[in-house]
Amino acid sequence: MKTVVLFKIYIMKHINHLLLLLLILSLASCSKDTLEVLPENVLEIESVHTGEAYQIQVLLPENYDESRSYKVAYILDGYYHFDYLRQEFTEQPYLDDVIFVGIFYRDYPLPIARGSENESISTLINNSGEISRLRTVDFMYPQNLDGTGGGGLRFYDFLKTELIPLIDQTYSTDTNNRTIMGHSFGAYFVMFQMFEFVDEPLFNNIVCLDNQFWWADLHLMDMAIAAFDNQTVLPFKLYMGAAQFANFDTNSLINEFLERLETANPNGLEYKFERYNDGHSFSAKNGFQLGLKYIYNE
Amino acid sequence: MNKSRYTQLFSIAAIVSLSLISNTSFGQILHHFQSAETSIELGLGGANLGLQGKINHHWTSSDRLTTMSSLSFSSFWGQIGNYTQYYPSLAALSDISGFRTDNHLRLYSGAKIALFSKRKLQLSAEAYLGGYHAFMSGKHFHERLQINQDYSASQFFFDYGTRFGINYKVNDQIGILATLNNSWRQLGYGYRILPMLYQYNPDNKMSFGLGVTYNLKSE
Repeated sequence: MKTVVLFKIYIMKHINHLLLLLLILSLASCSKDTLEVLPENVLEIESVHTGEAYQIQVLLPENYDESRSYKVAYILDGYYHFDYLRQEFTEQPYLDDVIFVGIFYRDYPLPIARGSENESISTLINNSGEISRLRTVDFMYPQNLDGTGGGGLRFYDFLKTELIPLIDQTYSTDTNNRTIMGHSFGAYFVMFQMFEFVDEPLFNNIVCLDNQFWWADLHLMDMAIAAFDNQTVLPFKLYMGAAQFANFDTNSLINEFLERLETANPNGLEYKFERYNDGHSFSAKNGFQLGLKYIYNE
Repeated sequence: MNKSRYTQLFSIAAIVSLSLISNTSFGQILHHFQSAETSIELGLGGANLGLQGKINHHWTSSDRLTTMSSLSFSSFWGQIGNYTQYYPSLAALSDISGFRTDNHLRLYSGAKIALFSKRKLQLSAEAYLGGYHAFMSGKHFHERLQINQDYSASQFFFDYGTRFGINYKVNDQIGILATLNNSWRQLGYGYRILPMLYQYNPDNKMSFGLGVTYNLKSE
């Protein structure tokens, strides 16, 4: 009997704390489950342009409604970046009207990174090597001085004539509001296609992290300088980021590009640059989050 | 005496005083440590060549098993990391020079187990918490495009990871040690485990060490 009374007194004394704890637990249980890609939204394309097989993962907003039209954000190197960005598309209200499309190499999954049950270090190492080779071919144009890379135009054709038409036919999309996002070699490609196809752009918004200007004796810098000298109108919203501990020439050449960009101040271009206190690979997550916020919420 | 001479004298006096204080302090704290290790390190991620010093406090010690906590400092130096260096034809067209360093302070805890009847071979496994300061500075000159950029960066990183070692006891005082230090900081981030990226990132350090262990006192 005495124990029951003591318990009641304890409850009365700590009722505020208990209510606060209850509130915190309620809020925690209300957090959304991370959005998943449904099996029917995993597509495949065997490209006639690149000769490679791609797996395309499409993350639809929570209350996807076919009577509305949705902006589309494409991310290169989906095998690295798609999974952790699903959380961002779950939590940020400004991404509620954006379809998120990740591009993977179908035959070279990264089992550990994707949480597969068939985790295997040897598969990971082998597929990492293959992905490294393939993305160098797909994203980089022209060939480097050692003969590597060089398939960037074919990859662009894949995007233009195979991937984007498939997405636009399958889902309810706003064809005037596309974003492309890339990191490292992916960043090179997204900026390369911006300058190369400026008269007929596929993408309006570009997120470009740790760009690799050094490729092919600064070919992309040459393109940028030519566009700035010719006062080319650049009708884009561009977010650029750099990790301060990415390799030295990544950073020194990004600084060079920024100086020339600020001097030229091209018509039509809305842009932002941020540098992060981190290294090359760690910066991607932070950079893409900030890039998405700039593109869709600023 | 001009002002710069006063500054020089003050600097020398400060260095001597601090050296005396640190030596005395080191002598005092050395009582708490039963063994020490020094090693030459080959690093992946950040600077390449380093030296590590580590002092170990033994919580328990028997013929077979030693449990310990340790404090270590390691300093790495290397040429500045750049992608151009991997392509000789590109490197010939640019002039890139500079250096990078990373200095690590770590607190380890773990155990050392002696194998076989003679107990000459010991395996150790430790986990660490710590941090390091990374720095790089360099110049980039490219004649054709008249690029002339200086760039430097400085940043402190928190760090955690593991260290595995094999020690061969030469005698009761000295042993020869091989180690593998591996930062776990890269897990849970964007790239997760992508082994080839180690060489490009100063923020996920792996290093191989070869060195010597000393018994500071008989137990």
